[in-house]
Amino acid sequence: MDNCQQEKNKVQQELLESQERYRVLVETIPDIIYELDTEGKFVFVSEAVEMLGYKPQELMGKHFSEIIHPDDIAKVSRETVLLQYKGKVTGDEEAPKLFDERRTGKRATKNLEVRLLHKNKRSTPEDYFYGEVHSSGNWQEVGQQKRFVGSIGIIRDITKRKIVEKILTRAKEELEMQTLELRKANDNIKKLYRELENKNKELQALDKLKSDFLSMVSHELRTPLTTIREGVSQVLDGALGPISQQQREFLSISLDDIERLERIINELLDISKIESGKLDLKLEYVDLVGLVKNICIIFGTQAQKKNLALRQNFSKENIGIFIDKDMISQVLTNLVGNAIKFTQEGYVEISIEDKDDFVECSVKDTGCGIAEENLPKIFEKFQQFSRVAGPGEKGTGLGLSIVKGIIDIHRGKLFVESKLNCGSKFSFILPKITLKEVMEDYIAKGLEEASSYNSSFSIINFGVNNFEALLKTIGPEKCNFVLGNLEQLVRLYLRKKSDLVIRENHPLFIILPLTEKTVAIKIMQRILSNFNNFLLTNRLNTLVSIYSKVFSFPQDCKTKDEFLNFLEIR
Amino acid sequence: MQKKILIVDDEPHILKMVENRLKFSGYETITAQDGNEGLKKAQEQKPHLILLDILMPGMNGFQTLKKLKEQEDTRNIPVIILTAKGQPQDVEEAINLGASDYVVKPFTPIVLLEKINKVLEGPKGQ
Repeated sequence: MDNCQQEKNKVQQELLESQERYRVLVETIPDIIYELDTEGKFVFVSEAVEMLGYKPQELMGKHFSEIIHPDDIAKVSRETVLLQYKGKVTGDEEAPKLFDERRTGKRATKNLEVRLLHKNKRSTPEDYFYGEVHSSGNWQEVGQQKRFVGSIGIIRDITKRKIVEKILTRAKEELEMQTLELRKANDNIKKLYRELENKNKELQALDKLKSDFLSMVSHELRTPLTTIREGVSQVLDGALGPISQQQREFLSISLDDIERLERIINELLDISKIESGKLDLKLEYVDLVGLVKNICIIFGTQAQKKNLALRQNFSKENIGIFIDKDMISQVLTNLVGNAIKFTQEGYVEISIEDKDDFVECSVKDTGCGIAEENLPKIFEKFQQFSRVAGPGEKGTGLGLSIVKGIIDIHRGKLFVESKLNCGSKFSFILPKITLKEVMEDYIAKGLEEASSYNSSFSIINFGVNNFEALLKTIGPEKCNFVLGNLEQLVRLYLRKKSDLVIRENHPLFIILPLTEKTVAIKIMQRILSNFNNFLLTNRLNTLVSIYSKVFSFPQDCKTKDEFLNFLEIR
Repeated sequence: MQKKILIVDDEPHILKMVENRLKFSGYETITAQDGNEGLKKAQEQKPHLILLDILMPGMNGFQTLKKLKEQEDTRNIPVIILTAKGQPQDVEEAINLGASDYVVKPFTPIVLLEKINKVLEGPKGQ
């Protein structure tokens, strides 16, 4: 009996210990653990329920709906939910989820989301917690049978997670809205871009119309003017018989103004070409020193008449550079002409300096100068400041903008320094373009032209065999004589403006746009036989031997690189 | 010996000016106002050089040039064309048809006289 009692006490003791252990375990879990009776009333709830403001004992005997958000009660109660599922068979996944679950095992409730209310904080519709419920039916064995006694479950607080989820959802929605707006904005931009493109096309068409108009007008003006000038100058020249002194005087005045009108028309034409980008650079290797010397000869008498010294200052005897000779002549003529025009005493000095990558050229005078406030406008069109010019020296106000346009397309830079009554200095720098760059340009242009007119393009290459050895035997001076004569001879055989001779020193290239190989070969043979005659008469035929080659598109070369390769330009 | 130059141009003003300038510079001149007249005068009078306008009503300069180069008795007379356009294809076509040189209108007498000299006294076989 004692043993039995002892055994009983021991079992009871162990039971108490076990109960206590489970109680501690249950109360340690931060989730709310609950037990309901068959009617859904609380028979146990862990202390974690205090997060909702309740003491566990307050809820004992109360229906679970006490702590559920009113809108959610019907969604989680067996009583209401199961009505909807009456007569339906569901799989485990779609099975209803219940707070007061009856089922157990696999079909028990997992992850049922439900809103929970706080005991005291119910003032706004936003005051609730989010709980995630796992619940199961609680069955007890009575003899052979199992009896449903209620539900057991846990509620995990997922409020924080839900808030983050909400924020994320809202952010996502906002992002979607913004994406939508961006897409709309993008569509608008595209539309605007198309409109701009159309406007741009219209403007380009207008601009083309303007320059077409200008060049047409200039041409139409020039044609009758040529006849007028020719008529006047023939009378002046005495081609129609002798004239009196007074007649000569009046015709001279007419001729002066005819020439002025021609200059204006030419300058307008130049400006329209520069503005429409139609000005094509015709690059040749030119000695700038020689070019400036020539300009000084032309202006010599004009400077002498005004008692002005025309000074020249060169850093080297020869300064070779690839430029458009006619255009740079025009620049120099313009700057030197201006300098002489606006200088009454002192000098005009032209300097050229060979820097490594570029050449700097300047025209300095001791004339009336330009006021500081006018300097920024100096290169604009139709600008004429109150610089005193002599009679008959009125300009058009286009000269300096043409100068700027020409320097610009040479990718050079133009500068001006000036002080009123102390003189002006105009300088420009021209970058040194390499032979390869020049040839690349012409080959590209030639190929483009040939394919657009469905025609050909040829290059003739002349050179001296064993040039380096010849340089040693006859010296650079004689070599220059030979090559210079070759170039002169070649120039005689050029047929049209677009035919070009390119020679830095040795060898020499002839660019023949829109020219078939057979024609190019004929030209080459004529030059060759004439040049061999030249060598013979100068008794150079035993020393100098010439090679010549023709490369043509499309027979020999189809691309720029093929031409460069064949011509050995590196 | 005075060199004889045939000028073919439909513009009477230009014709007159060029004619007088060339006479003054020591050339003998013949004029024609269209291609047909030009062809006829070239055959009859055998000029040393022909100045030929491209833009003419009726038979234009290209057609005239072609006929001049086809006929045995006019084939070797050098022709300088006068072109108003100065388009590369224009000049190219004329050179291919056998023209010796070209002058772009409006031209100055100096340029014209230079080109005439170059063609009359230039390298053989041009």
